[in-house]
Amino acid sequence: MASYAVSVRDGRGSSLTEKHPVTIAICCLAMICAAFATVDITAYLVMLGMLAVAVLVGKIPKANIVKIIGLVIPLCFFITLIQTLSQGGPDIASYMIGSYAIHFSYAGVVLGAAITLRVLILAITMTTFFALVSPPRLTRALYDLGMPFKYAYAFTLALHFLPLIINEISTINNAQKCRGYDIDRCNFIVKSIKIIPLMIPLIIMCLRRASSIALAMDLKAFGSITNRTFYLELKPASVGEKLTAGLFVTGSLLFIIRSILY
Amino acid sequence: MEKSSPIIKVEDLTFSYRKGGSLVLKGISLEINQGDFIAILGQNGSGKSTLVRHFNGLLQPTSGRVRVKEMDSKTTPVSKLAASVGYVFQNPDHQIFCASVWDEITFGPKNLGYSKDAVEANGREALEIMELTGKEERHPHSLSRGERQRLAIATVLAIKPDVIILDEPTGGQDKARTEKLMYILKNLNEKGHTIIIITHDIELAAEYAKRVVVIFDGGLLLDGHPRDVFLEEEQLHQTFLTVPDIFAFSRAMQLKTPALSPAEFVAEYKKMKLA
Amino acid sequence: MEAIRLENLIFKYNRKAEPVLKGINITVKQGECIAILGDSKTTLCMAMCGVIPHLIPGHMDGKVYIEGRDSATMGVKDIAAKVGVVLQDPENQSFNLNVEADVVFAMENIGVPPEEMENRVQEALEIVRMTPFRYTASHQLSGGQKQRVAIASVLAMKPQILILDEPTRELDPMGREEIFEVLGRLKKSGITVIIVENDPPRLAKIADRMLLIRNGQIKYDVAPRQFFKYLYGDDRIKLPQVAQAYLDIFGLSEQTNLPMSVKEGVEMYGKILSHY
Repeated sequence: MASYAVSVRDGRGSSLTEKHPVTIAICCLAMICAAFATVDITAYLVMLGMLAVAVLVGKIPKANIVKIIGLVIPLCFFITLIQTLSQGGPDIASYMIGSYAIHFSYAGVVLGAAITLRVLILAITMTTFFALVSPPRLTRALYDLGMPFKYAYAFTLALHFLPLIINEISTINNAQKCRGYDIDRCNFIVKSIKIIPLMIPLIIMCLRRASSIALAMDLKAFGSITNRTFYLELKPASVGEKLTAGLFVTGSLLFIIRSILY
Repeated sequence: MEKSSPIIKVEDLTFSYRKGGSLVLKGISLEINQGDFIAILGQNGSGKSTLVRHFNGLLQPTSGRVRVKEMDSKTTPVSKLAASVGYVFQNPDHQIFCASVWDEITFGPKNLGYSKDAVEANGREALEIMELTGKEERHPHSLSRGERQRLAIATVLAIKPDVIILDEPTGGQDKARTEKLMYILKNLNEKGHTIIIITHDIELAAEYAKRVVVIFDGGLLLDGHPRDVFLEEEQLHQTFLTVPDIFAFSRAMQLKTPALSPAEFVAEYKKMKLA
Repeated sequence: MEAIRLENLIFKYNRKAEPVLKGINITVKQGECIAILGDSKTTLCMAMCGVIPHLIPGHMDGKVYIEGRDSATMGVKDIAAKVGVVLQDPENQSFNLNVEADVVFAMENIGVPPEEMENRVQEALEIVRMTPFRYTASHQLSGGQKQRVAIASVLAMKPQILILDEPTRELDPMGREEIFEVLGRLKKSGITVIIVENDPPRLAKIADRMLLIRNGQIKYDVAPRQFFKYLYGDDRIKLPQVAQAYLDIFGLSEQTNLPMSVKEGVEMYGKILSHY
């Protein structure tokens, strides 16, 4: 996400990144609500198709999408497995372990697949949203909607400093390795216990950093007046955008109603 | 100890952070001998910190080999190499996390399995060398920044490694503190420790280091006695490093041996006058 | 015209027993460049930019006048617009995605009209020579570049006074050169520059006056050459090497014209040394 600024300004921005953040937010929300209203695999595939179009038109870096899929798939595999084992109905396979029977139900596989697709849609929609709406635009949109600036700005700050904090974790880890305290060579359980002392330098450094940032912000008069001015102006949503958002909402509502009735 | 075999041997080291990514280190070969006192110079981004992280296994070569006392850094874990190569990080707060100074100092030796007596003795010695005796029970974060820096060094000293690496140990310190620290390092070097400092302070490097290594654009540009390295003006110019004023001044005055410190200059000048 | 005047400034942090500043008197004229060395430098900086007393708790006596007005009666916003402050750590002074966003941030905070912003951004970036990097992401910059952006971001507020608290501490030699070069340019433009650093030789090249704080008071407040003469033999402040060698050889006297650089050394020694 931090690379977004570079991609837009290098001319690799797309028509979609110029659209009003609220429009994009509405469309994404509509998609997510629709996804939660059903477990119909065909519907999901259609939604994924729409997302694919958005990704192409929005020129969203494929690496982001691949990364998120990579994160989601293991989780989904796990969910599918549970569903397969716990759902009733006709089996696709069953095995005997000792005297205990394990059933893999067909319905479970289908349900698992559906949930996988739902999670994928959720993940890709959110990735698309954050790829199309840069933090400054998001901040500005939230402010226009009435959120006090300091809260709207918190997101930009977090985005900016999270990578730095992650780097710090890595440095602290290395520093302790140099003293013989190597958590990477332990199994998962021991690792979770051994990582606790490492939190101390991390927290202290975060607090120091926060204090330093706060001072720097105060010195730049942050929060000193209520009517802050803005360099970035959001173009009001065009008629076309409003129509699109309306279409998405309507389509989503109709779909949800249909799913409930059938 | 066999003086002829180097304590750290770097053979044609190349390194990139990501597979197929750009090379940060482009084929470096280097030998560090027991008893060396080396200053590593180079701009930020030249690869000097990356290189030094290979000396204790924090990073592993993409190609080439790094051997510490015959242990291959690719197959030996960092925690094992830590007994031979100590690394003091630039920011002491990255290393400090115990509740008392004493716990902090004995943390390393305990982790590395030293005997109870050794832990006690090493700890006391480290405290004394870094002038922290009497502060054993203090909480590390109640110490001043300078004291925390000394503590970080003490925690590495307590391990008694053959090689001690320090990353910018004199940052932001005044003359007195800097001289004190360098005096301690000189003593340790005389006792047999190999000292490697990464520094931006070229006057410091000139005055105390017996060997200077200049890294530029991922490669080893210069390696030798400070006097010899500083004579390579054109190459140094490439890296935006400038020789210490006193060295340039000595050459402008056509002194027989260019001085590496004001004291040396004064001595040379007096010799000249007597001749 | 006075840029900043400190009148008998005394300051004690709440948690400390003793005041760290015990009666500081300084007058900085508009357009001067002064360097501050010694103890409690950061506390002094913070007092000069209004952070003390507004943001840091403690007990303050005496007065700080910023362009003639008592800092205690001014709001942080008013002071920020007059006094730009650059801190030590380049990483913690950038909060936005790219250089441009960082440079406009302070302007937005003080309510500069959007029409004026474009010009100021261009000017500020030009002074620090970062114009080609306007749209570069912050995390791709080197330390020296980041600090230059930090300077630009406060310059955009068009302050008459610039205070820098150890700006080159985290930088490599190249970054250090970049910053001092910018400072040289700023000096020429008439801005009052107050810099705190631990690099006496470089400071000597741009400072009009150098101040030493010891035991909470100003011990010396003189031009660089005289400053180093006073500090000969001091165990905490390092002299430029050429000056040190000169004084070690020829000793110190009232008339000593102290060389501070290689060039000056060659001129002055050349007159005295007999060749061999």
